[in-house]
Amino acid sequence: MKLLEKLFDRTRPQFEPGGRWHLLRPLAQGTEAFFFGSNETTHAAPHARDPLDSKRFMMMVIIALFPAFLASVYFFGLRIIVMMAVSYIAGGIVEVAFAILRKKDIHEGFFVTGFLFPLVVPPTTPLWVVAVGVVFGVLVGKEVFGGTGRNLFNPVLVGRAFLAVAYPRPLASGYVIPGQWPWGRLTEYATLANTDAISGATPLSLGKQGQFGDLMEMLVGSISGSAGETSALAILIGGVFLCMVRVANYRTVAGILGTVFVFSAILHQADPSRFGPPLWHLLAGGLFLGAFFMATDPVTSPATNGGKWVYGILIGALVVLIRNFSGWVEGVMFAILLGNLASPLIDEVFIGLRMRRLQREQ
Amino acid sequence: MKLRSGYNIRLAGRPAGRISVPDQPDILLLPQRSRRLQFNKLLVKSGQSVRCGQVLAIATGQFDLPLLAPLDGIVRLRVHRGHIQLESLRRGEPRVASAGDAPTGTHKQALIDLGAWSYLYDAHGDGVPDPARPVAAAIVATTQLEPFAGPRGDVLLSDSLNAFLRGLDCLVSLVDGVTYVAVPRSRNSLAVQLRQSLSEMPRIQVVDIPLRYPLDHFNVLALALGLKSSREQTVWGLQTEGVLAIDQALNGRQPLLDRVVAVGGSAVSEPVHLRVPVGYPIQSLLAGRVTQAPHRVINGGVLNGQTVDEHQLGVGVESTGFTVLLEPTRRELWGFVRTGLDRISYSNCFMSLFRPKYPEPLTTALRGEHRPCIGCGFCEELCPAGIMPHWIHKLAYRDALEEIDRCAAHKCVGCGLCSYVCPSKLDLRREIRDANEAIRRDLHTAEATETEEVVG
Repeated sequence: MKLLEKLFDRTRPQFEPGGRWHLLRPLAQGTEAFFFGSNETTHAAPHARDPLDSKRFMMMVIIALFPAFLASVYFFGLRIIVMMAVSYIAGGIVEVAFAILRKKDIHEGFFVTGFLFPLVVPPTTPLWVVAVGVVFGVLVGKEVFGGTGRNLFNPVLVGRAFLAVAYPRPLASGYVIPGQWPWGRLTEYATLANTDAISGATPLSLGKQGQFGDLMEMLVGSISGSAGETSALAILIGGVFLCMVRVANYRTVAGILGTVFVFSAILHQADPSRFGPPLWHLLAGGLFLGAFFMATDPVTSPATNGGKWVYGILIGALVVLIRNFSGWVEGVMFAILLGNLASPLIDEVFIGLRMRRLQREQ
Repeated sequence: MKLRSGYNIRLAGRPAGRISVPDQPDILLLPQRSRRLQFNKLLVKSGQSVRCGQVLAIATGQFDLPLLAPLDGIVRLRVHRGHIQLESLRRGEPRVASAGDAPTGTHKQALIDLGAWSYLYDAHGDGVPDPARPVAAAIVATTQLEPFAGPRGDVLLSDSLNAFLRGLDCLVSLVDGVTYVAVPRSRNSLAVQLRQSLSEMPRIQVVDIPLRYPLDHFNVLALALGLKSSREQTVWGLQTEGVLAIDQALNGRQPLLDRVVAVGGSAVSEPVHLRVPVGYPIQSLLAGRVTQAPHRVINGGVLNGQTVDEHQLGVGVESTGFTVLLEPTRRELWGFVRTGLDRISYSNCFMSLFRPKYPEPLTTALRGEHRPCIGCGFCEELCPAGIMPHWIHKLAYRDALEEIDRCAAHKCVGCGLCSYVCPSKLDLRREIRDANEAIRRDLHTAEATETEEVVG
């Protein structure tokens, strides 16, 4: 590794201002940062710093997403890995291009976006559609707002929403019947053409017709749905881990899941034939994935703890409303996007209260 | 009383539990400048022979506080910039600064003349308390929670508990109101003994504090105790050494010529507490105690200290400790996927969560790249003043000074935990301080001129 370090040391001047390749500095810096930790030191007090950096912070999300990713490969085949590669390459080009344009470093947040995106689309989505979606998400969802940390909406969901509107066909009919025990589809490359088991019937769309599927299957994930959203168990393992390392805030998650449970229980009591049971609502569709991995994005959720509760409750209520009283089968995506939209407002209220309390205290 | 958050950094290189006295140096280098004081008016000439306790210079900006000669010797000026050099040192009988041999006048004057005033802090700010103003209350912190920023309270107290109690008696007589003594919530024999002795003393209130930095900070305690600052009265803040200084000055009638300094940190092979005369050369202080590897010497602690550069050569009248940190020598490969068993983090993102806390050999590495704020909220969780550093950061980004003012940014006690913990490596404390300065400069002066105009 000494060699690699020396290589970076030797080539670095070429990428500095005035060097031959100075335009590609973000790319070189990004590659170097992938291998080695920062070599910067503090200049003044505090002279030492906490070991957590944003690279590690984002890495925890990817680690937490791994169970869901593995489950998706098991149930829907090797194509998911290719979709992941396409997502990273297409989104990466946008990220790098903007880093070069802005003359800033490549920010780690993209690695989460690129990892999450293939997991929220149907497993047979054409690769070029995946690329279009992730490019749109990164470009419009994040970069036009000024990049990581300044975006209003979750970039993954912006891309997903764009696809849902612009390419409804592959997004609505690309669902596949999941592989069966013991090998799943681990050896298959399932596309629309070679899979005889094309099925548009996700639990939620069946639910619209009054059929509420087996909860055990929904927990394990042997149901059809978007690539990474089907296995509630795998998401739960990763999601609880993410809350435990405090990258995701449990308040948002508890707010969403609690509200969905309570509201759907009330509706189910009112008319059990039309509205699904509460546990079914929790496990169906992308609720777990959205609640644990997308709504908790610290940038697009409120900064205050009280605000996080309100934000969670708002999203939960919207999910129940959209799922049960609108033409859309699934409501998590729009619910979170609307929650993102409301989060500055929620913060405004809670920070106002906080300021008043602080002013009283002095 | 409500004490919020706080966090302890466990830094390797904790000084020993007793105070040792090193050999007398060949020369003393007395800095004319320290954190709060500037001894700008010299009262001696180069080549002049001075006696121990004689005034060398005074700080005209700070109530004429004196800089005393710690030993007998000959003054050399202009050898080192900003320093008074004292050579041909001899230990002499201390000569008291004011006229006559014993301090006359009020107790407060005695504290000034004998050099004890620099041990006093204004509990609502960072300055030197005004001797002319009556003292509404005093806060005594018996701990020193910032790692190695100064001698630990228990080290000082175990040596001289009686002197501390005597000094506290004197302090109570100087304070109009209550004297609050912050004692850590601890069951060690010293804390129990201290609490017992204090319970018998009048006009003293014991305040239990958790052992978490910076809850021993005067500003935090003053806020939690609901002590208001005003133009007419001050609240004093003292540490254990401050009470001992009062005892030495008022009961012992001796000038304060020594300092107890802590020398610790990751680059220190032999961490110690030392009793040295003011002006003791820092080089001799560290010689033989610091490893050969690249390191940074900090006057004070990791969180608040200032880097010692070529402009500071000797122990100052306010020096309490020197922390020496290693400079990082190697870059970590794939740090973002390591277990992290070898580091302690505030967040739970590293596996060290599962091992008992241990002293960590921290370096001056930034440990990450500068990134935009992602709103993780760790800074807010740690803030002992209860303000929202991440929100102030966002407001500062668009220069919204009025809104920052409404966020109560002035409550910042400058503990530095927000900057320490930030995963995006933002220097939040500096931003808050800059914003506060800008508010004072722009908003408040604007208000002042407006009212003047109205009056005019």
